[in-house]
Amino acid sequence: MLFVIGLQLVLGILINYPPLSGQLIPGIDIWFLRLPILLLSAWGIYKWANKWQGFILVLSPIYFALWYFYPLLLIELMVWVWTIEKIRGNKKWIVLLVVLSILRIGFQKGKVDVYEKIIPRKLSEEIMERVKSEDILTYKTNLPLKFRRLSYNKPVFAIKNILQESVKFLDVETIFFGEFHPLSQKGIVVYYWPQSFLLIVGVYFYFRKKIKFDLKTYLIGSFVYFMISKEISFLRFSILWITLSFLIALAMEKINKYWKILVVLVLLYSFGVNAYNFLLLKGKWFDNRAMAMEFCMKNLPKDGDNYITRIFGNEKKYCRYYDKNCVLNEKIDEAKNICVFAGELLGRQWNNTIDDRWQDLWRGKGYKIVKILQMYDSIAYGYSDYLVVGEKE
Amino acid sequence: MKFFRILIIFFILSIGFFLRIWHIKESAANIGFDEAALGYNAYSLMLTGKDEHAFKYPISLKSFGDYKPAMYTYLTIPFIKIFGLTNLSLRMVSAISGVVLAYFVYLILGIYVKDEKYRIAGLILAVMQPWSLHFSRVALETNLSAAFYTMGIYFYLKNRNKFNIYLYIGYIFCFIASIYSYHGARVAVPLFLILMQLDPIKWMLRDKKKLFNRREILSIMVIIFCYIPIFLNASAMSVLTRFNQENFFKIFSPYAPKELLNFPLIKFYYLIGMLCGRLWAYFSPINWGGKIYIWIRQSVMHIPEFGMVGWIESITFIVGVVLIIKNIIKDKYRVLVYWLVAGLAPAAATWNWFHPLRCLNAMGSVEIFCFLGMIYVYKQLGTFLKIVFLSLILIQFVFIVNNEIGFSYYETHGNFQPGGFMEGVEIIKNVYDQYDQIIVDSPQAQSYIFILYYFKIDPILVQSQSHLRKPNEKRSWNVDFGKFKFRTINWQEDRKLKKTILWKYPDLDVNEIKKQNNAKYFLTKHPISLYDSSIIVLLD
Repeated sequence: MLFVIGLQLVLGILINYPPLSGQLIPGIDIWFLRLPILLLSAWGIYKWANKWQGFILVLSPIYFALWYFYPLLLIELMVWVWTIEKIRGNKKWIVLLVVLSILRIGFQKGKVDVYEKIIPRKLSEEIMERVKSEDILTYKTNLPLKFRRLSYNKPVFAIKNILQESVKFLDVETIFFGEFHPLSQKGIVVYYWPQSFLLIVGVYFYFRKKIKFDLKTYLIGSFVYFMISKEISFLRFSILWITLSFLIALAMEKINKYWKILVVLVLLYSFGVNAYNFLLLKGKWFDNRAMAMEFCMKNLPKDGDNYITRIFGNEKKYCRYYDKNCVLNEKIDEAKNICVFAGELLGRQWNNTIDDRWQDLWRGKGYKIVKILQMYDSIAYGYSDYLVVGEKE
Repeated sequence: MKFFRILIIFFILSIGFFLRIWHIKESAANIGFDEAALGYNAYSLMLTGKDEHAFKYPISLKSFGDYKPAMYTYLTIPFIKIFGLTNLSLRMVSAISGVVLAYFVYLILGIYVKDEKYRIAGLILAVMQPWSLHFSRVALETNLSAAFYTMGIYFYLKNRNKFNIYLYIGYIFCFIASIYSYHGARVAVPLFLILMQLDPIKWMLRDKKKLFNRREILSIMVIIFCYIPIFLNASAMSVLTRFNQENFFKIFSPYAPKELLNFPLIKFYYLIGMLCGRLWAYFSPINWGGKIYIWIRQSVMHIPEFGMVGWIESITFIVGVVLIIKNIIKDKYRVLVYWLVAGLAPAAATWNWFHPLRCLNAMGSVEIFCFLGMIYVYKQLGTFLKIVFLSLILIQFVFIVNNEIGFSYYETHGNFQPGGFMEGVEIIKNVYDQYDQIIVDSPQAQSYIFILYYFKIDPILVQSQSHLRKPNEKRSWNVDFGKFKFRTINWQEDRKLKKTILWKYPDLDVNEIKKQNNAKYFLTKHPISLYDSSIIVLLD
């Protein structure tokens, strides 16, 4: 486990990715946050988990994402796990789980996917939409009205929406196969794909060897957390990450030593592939708004009359992170130096295209182009993928 | 008691059959081009013994160069004989297949569940599954193949317990019928039988009892022998056309992102990951119960609001998977795994991440996974929760019926290629003799097949053109025949034609047509009443 923690640290240093907006503490370098979190979580896992479970947990890609980008979430997870452990001993602790859930919903400002789908007004709209759709069909089936009403009512639609949201839980694609998924969703997998087979083996041993460990509470906790979270998809599986680690670690324990050696080698190889992937394609896998802000701050003159793109917000927070006394100009036209997407000067295009002569057009508007960064994917859709530092001539 | 049970089963199957043909005229009102091809070829075979390309009693239909297995077409002939060439007769084989499949799932469920009331509940669920209802209302060879495949599995399992020559011949026959019905079964059938012989899970569990059964090996050889006519009937590469078009080995090469190719063994790692991912996709409840990928949305596979099975079933599917893993040491549970894996293999080897049609041969096992999970969950509940659970299932049934029969066509009409063909035929039939030519300009690549189907064009006329048939650069097999010509209509030029019917997408300015003395026009209805499908201009 210590070895893997070392690998995680080396990987983190090599990537050296700028902080996300939630990690910004003005004047304090991000590593003063990351390092203690890594050590604290590693200590927590070491104390709480057994040998294989610890290994499985710290090796997983989601662990890297958590200590590197979402330190508060990692601490929250520790509290959740502590609570679940308490519930396993005494059901009265469920109250704490309820409190944690309320707090989480509060942090999300009341936004919960499933709740948004069962608001009566939205249900009414959904039902009306459906009835309208059927009414404008040329070839109507005209099913008996009473029969239609049996399923076209708010309770049924609410149940439908809850169930449709519930089936997203245990989504093996997000857990194991995110990088191969044709929809190329931006997100980090929870476990490496070879571990999917270990999970099956773990389930087998869990039942065959009659392991006296109550997974049910963890599964319920994972489900609750999943349903109330409104995070990036893989982060909704954070508790499930811990729950599944029991089964994967169980598989590791029970297989014979030759298989063990093979599996450890495969997992270390997977870690290597993943690390290589992160290193070379960090703009693809991570939130590249942080990258954009770092680019701006490094290429704009210090103490200059600067303007930074306001498309995704937090520019002032970033500015103060890199320079405690930073002040930004509020207006793009008045600033001497700007760091904006190419389209911000030329107008938004619905399909994110940009005129091939955009650099000339910028010069025509009186700007000298100092530096250009092409982003991996669009974070300012409509304004092109080119982030540009320009200086008014 | 036995009579009562038969009566209940008969009643459930009758309801199932009724739901598969109820309002079939309105939902889906139009047909897809593959359906039209199956129907017209059945019509052609019935009248002349040859398909549209003039092949005598083919095993695979050349059709649009995709060499469709012809079994569905042959089985459709009796219905065309009775009802004529209609949407109902065309879809009847599929409707019956859906009911047969559900019945055999019920029979197989008997191997796992002894309590008759749970088995009956399983039959009701099988009959009411969204995928079964939806696919049974469309003419799909896959549905027929899945029915034969499931029957084959049942006879195979029965025969395994105790050798019986009728069951033995029965399963060989059903499996052969399955491979003659759909491409996917050509992989699934031998793979299932080979997996049953090798029993790799048993091997992994270190149980080294006898492996091979001579009679079953003979049956594999007989089935493989039956592949020969398929390859003799059409050239081997033509039969593999579909695989060549769809397999992911070719499409995704070199598998890993180009930036990572320097990493040792990365191609292999990604290749295996992609294959496993495609297999695992069929274990994701979200794919069974709700996620609709773009390639599904744009095809007849699209079941609005559902993936394949009900929402409750897609959750209990996972419970079923866990139960099977728990009991994997028992032969009868490993059968389900092999059935599932063999059925999914053809789907996993193609580029699509999740493809409902290609995994249909596995659906019987998927349903059993769902039902076993459901029964387990039900047994864990107290009385009140049992009532809630049953109510949820009942609500889901009502929703499924409303959804499939009342609503589905609103979302899927485009996938059935409306294009105004069905409606236009009624207009043109009345004036057909008064015009010398009919020019059809349609965005549908295979629009000719709808004309053949709806006009019931004399097959001999079509066959006489077979030597001219080849696809154009848009992979369209359109060919001119009789008065029908397929080409782009240029209104400014073509308006000068005499005794001609122009039939195209309704983008002509009707005011211009009104100005022309010798022209009158008709607009055909679109499935959504707010729009028109096509415009038919009669130039006297």
